[in-house]
Amino acid sequence: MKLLSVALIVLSIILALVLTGHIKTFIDLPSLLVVILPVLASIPARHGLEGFKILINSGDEKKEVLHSMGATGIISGVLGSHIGVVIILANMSKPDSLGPALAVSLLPTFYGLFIFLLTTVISHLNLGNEL
Amino acid sequence: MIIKSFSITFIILCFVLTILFNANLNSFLDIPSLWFVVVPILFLSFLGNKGSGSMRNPIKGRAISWFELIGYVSVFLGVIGSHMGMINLYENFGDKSSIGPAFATLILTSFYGILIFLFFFLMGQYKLKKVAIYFVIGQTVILINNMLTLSFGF
Amino acid sequence: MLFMKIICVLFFLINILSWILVNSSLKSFVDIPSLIIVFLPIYMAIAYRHGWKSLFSLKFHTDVWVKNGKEQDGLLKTIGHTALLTGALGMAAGLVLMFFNSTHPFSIAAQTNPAMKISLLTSTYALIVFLVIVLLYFVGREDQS
Repeated sequence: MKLLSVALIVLSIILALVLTGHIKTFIDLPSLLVVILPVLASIPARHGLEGFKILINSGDEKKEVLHSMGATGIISGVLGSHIGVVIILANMSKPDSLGPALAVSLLPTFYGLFIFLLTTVISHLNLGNEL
Repeated sequence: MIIKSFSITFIILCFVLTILFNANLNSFLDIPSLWFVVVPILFLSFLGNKGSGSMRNPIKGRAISWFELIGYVSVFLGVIGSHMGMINLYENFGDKSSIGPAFATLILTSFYGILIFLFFFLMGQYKLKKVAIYFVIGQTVILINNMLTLSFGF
Repeated sequence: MLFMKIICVLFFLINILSWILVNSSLKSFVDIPSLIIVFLPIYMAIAYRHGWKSLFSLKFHTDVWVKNGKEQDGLLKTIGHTALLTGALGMAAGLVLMFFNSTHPFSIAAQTNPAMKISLLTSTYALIVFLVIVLLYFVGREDQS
């Protein structure tokens, strides 16, 4: 039953974006890779190879692993947006194409916040004294 | 230890590859902003190593490790550097040729600060304070505001 | 005590509502995608952390609100912090949409640009929810002393 509520969170956000009518701007593979690959690689960086097993099995240490995944998600999203802005400024020819390029460069921030929301809800942690 | 260094190099390689696929590495290297973020951290590393291994916060009593301190200081230096870049940017706004170095300071100081923060976060074993994430998210808001200002100027 | 809490919170809400009604109509403050982005994840987060029964049975809510214990703290903290996160998510999504649909002289007004409306409305809803939760939390603390 818990998996159903997490899936419903993801589906409700996708539903709201589909209702606006422009779902295609939110799908971009390089931005997705810039966020997801560091998140997956942060598990062995902080917890060793048992990190993957902790994620599936036990209950109490899952909080630490999910916390590090969420924080790495936000940070790499912000870094990806910074990289995108510098790339736009380096390759820009005319100011009309600034808009859509800037939209794509903001996507890693969106993905990072999304991953942070999911890991915060799943891990029962809050934005308390420690994140 | 091997796994840790391997995965940290993998993450840094991700970012370097996205840079290399789309633009030159030259546009990401700016020596004044690099000096501004990195040199105070080198001074801090001498401060933290004297005496015992961890530094104790006298107010709340929670020990702060050396990795954690360097991470927060680098983020904060990135914030200060981006604000100084903003001041220079708005001062010479009419002159189109001098926007370049000011905007470079603005973006690259916050970029280096957040990159060093990610590196030390992955190397240490601590939980984050909430203020650090708010600083990191605030940098994107500043970045978006300045991009909007530039596009109005063009 | 419960009555006093509701009166205090209603005072703040009526204040905000009257400001909206004086300056413009209520129709420009209601938008369906922003409602879905902010409120549905909050319901699902309550269901995840406190069980599915908490959504459907009213007895759970009256038990939790009458006691001033840890369960009330848990529920309030869940709602408040999830609201902040979904508000930030909606703001980022609105900015992406706004930059995509822009022509060269773009206008960042909520009336003319429906994408910026999503960004501003989600952050507004999230902040109002957070304000109500903070008020309930602090009014509840004063009852204990």
